[in-house]
Amino acid sequence: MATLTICLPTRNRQAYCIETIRAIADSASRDFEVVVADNSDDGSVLAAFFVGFADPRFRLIAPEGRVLSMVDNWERTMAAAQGRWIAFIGDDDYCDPRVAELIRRYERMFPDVEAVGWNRMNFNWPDNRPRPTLATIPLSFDTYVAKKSLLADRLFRWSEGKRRPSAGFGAYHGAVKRSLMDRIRKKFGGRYFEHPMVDYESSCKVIAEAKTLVHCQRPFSVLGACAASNSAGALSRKTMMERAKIFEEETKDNIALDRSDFPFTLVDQGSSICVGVAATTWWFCRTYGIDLTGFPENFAKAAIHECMSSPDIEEYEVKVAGFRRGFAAWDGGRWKDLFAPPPFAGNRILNETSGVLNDIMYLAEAKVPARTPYEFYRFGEHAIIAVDHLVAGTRTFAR
Amino acid sequence: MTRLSILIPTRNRQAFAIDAARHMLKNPRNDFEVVIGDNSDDPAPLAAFAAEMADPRLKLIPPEAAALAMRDNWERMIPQTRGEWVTIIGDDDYLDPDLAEVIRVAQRAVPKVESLSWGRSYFTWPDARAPREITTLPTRSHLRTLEKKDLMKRAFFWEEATDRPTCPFGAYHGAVRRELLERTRETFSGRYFEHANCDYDSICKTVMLAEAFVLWERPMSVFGTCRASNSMGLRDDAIGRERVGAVLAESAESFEAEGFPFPPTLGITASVGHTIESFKKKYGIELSGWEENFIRACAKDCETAADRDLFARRKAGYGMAIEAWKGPSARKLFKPEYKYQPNVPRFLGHADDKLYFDMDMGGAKSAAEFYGIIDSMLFPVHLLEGRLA
Repeated sequence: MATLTICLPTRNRQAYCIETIRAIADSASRDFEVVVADNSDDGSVLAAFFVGFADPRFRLIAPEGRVLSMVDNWERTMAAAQGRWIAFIGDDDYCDPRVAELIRRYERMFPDVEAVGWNRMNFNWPDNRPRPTLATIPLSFDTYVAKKSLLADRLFRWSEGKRRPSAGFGAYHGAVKRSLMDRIRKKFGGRYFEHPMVDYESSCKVIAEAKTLVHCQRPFSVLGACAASNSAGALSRKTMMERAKIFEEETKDNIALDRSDFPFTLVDQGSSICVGVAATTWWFCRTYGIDLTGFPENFAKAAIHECMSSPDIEEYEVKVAGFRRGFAAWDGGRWKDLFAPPPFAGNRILNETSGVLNDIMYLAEAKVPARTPYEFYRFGEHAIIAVDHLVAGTRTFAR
Repeated sequence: MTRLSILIPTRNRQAFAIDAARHMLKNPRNDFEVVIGDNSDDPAPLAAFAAEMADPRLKLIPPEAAALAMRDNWERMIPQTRGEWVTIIGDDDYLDPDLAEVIRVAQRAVPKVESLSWGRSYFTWPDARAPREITTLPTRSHLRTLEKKDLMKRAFFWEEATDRPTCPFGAYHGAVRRELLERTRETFSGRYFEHANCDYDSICKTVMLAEAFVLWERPMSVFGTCRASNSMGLRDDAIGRERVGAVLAESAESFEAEGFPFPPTLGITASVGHTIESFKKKYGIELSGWEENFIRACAKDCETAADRDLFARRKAGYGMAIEAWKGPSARKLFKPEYKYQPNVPRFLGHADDKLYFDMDMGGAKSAAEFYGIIDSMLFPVHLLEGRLA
């Protein structure tokens, strides 16, 4: 049995998916498998690709008779995975299969480990740069055993008060032990994945359930964003609205995104990823009885942070209005006074400040000689610890 | 207005100079010029390049009838430039014309500035590179003023020196105001450059004369080393001795400082030592208290040797010279240690405000391409002014 299954659910982005498959197949490692779960309208493209692609490490699951929601496609991908550990990535991302070597090292060091996290690089495909963009490369390489209470405070109660809570663990760009995934299914709704925002719902469940969680600062995967990805919404409000509508339509048979007990809607001019993540963590905590003390106060801070991160006054105003509506309707308006954002501080220079900050390198993406997440990963590896040294536990280096 | 003249003196390495100039001229700004001082045996390649570019920002100074010494080639270029500021790089180096913007901002912040410098970055051309080489890049980006007295300590007292003084102010990979260059010529012997080590000659004079110094910690240029460059001598001892020998042949009588018994072929420390000592002697500058720092720099020059035999040769050579210079008690201060450990892996990542990375990152084939890659990682020039506001 391979140490790791990399799950690659995909829908209607066959060209990116094929590029990603080729990138992962470039690895000499044998200790992994890849399950490609095709949810496209046209199944023939990937089927044809697999005919000429004789790599036993890869398996294709064809589309079903109807289009699945993303969460349902993830569910069947997981069911097909055979590795001892599971990691999901998007079809426009990259994951280095050698992360299996890291997992094996952590298993030796921490026998109870059930979740392994790592830092990620960020990369926008060349077709997704409507304005200046920055790619990122985390540069450090220490290992941390996570303190569960701290993770829970951050993710469930938003203790950092930032526009997005830190998660660091979960099946998306992280690895989860199969036995934990099975426990999660048993405990939470009889499914591996329930909520439409699969990445954060997985983080919630993993952080609630894993015995030991270990994080490596060295990046092992790349969060890619192409023009067709949901994350492209982060660069354009119009795109975000369109994607949110499609997302809502496709997931109508799953857990409802709109909840009367958390009336901040995703499909709203003033919405943001902050709202979507909060709706997910709120749903999880309410459904499974997690203590939410402090969440309203912290979420108000996060909402202010989200508004203040707007690039211009128009976006600031539309977001403020959206949060005001939500806070007015939430819990009888009990928390609405906590949402008091200061006036807009002026247009921000967004995504132009390249350089190194807090051991993360930000790169002016247009100048980087890489066309794909994999090329970018290979580029970035020139400035980070080699996998060989990391998994050997080398601590002494010459400068 | 031409704010900046970028000077590229070159001899018989036309392709390198052409690559640098071609990349510079892609920059749309109009406030700089590139001046190539061709000292090659064959004038045709650069003449053809200038004709092809037909860019008023490019000026080519053709070779004279006979090859010039390097410092004479540098010397003849200055009067043929029109920039308010001047900077000089080697033909296998690169410099970003956006330096003109840095100069503009620095002048607004420090109106008296006459000497500007920036962080250092290094690139070895693929033809001269070991299979895997790690280079460093400063990652800070503050604009700072430096005090003359502190720079004097660095240049003349070898304070904080490595195997050479760490004082980056001068015309070579630094920018100096034209007024300062003219004052330099008037003050010292009627020439801009006197010693064959033109770079350190310029540092000595700039530190003495400039009114104010500004450093932008962010690199704006790349020190390149190709197989044919003098700096290749720092990587290969035999080449080093040959290259220093060639420089000495050009300027035999004026290279060595009197009473300074260090053979210039010993290494970079000895060579730079002659430049600084020649300058001090010629202009009657007497200093004491710098000798111990210099001896430490000599030890560092030995310690950069990856090869044990080379280390031993340098150690013996410097040891003898130090004893001949200041006696056995001085030699006791000279304690180089062989430190090279080929089996210890090299660090990659970020530490002490430096990025350590494999020089092959991005697969740059030239110093200009390498600059393009590090430029993506560094604080953007166009945001400098906003940050100071």
